[in-house]
Amino acid sequence: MSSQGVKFWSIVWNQFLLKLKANTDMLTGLAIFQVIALIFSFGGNGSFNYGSGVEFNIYTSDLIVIFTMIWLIVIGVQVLRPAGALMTYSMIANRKVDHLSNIIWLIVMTGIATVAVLLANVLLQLITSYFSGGVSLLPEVQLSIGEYVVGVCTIGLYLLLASACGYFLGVLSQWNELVKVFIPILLIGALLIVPNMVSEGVIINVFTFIFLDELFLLFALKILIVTGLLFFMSMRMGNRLEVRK
Amino acid sequence: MGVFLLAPFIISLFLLLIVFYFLKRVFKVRNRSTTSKKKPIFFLVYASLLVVALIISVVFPNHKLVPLKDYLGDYDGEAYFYEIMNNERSIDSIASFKQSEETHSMSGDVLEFNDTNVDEYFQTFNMLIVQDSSLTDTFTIETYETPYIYDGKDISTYVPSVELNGSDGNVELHFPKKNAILNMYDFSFPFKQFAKDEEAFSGWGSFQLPSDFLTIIYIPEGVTPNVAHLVGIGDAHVKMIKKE
Repeated sequence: MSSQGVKFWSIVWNQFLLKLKANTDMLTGLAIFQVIALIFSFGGNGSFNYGSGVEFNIYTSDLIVIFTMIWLIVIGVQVLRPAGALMTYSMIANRKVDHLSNIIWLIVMTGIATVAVLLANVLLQLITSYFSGGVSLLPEVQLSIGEYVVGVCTIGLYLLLASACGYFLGVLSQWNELVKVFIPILLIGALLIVPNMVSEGVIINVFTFIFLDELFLLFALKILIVTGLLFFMSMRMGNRLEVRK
Repeated sequence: MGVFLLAPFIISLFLLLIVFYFLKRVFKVRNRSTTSKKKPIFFLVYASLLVVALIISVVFPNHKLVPLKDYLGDYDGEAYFYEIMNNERSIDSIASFKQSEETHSMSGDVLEFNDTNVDEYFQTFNMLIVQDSSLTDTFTIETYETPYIYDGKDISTYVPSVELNGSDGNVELHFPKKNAILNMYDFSFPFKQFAKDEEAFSGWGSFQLPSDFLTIIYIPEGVTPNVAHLVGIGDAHVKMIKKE
């Protein structure tokens, strides 16, 4: 038994650094997801002819945000893959350290993904404006710095929520092998059954309450609470798992 | 223009070369730890492309803001030109939409119209020929264009219109060769979610009203306009009235 004490957070930090290096290959997934989103976005959100010889192409980066959210859900699940668990098995750590380092890693990935979303939007505008041979127009009212910062934070919060959902699903799938099969069934089934079981108003109210707050701070607080709950539940459930199967 | 087109590619190549040079340097030292040995080359190439795109967008901005024109007045999208063509509205009421006015000499009895670049793209063309007894040996071409309102913004500047050139007893019409392509970039939903000005951030496409063109040609009485072949062009409307 070692007589030397170890600091909890330094172990978490070291494990986070290890995971940061070990999981760099997952960033390839981000690039692939965003390239797919860009390909879909090149077609524009709308394209039509209206009136005297004018063709409109409307572009937004909505798809890039959505595809990046999907990537974060995927890596949230993947970070718990057996290879990752084996890698940290020989280190001084416990379940709590493992989860915390995973969560910090997901937060960092969310930050990288947020920057990538903003830059991918610039790439989308550049490619479409150079290759369509048309005039590129921006909405007349530009975002103020404050609105831009709020927008960036909103993207970050949505992405963070997606990563928390992915992580929760990952822990669930570790909890029981059957969950891996049941999660897609539950998700698709819920989409079909819940609207019939619960009144439409309730679903809309819940959705509106969480996502459509008029005040950014309240919205951020709600997203952070939901994200925190998901991470907390993941940690609680993860602690009950066997050390190694 | 050529340099402008080549510059992005040259910058891209240059930056990619730098990125690959550093990649080569970085991965020369083998990682002996338990960490992954896979290099996210694809991501690094993609990330460098994103940075290049950002630099190009800053150095060579290719986006225009939509100008709002102050001549709109109380224009509410009524079919002004249709009413003028049907003699239901006075020409004076559209004075604010006038784009050009040219006067040319008229020596013969026939005013010839020659057209170029006629194709399927240009769909509307309104021409009103007014026989004016006050004119003797001249004719006048006036062109009018209504705003092209799209989501409350006037984008008529970017809409191609028919160009008219007059000479003695002759009018040349140059139709636009093809559609104008307007790429409109909207903010993504997280940016619009907390926008203070909801109307400004409602996004493109909430309300559309196409632009309309009207050409009025004042000719002396006794002059015959040779316009029969123009009627077949797209949705062309040609009418002749007498000035009262």
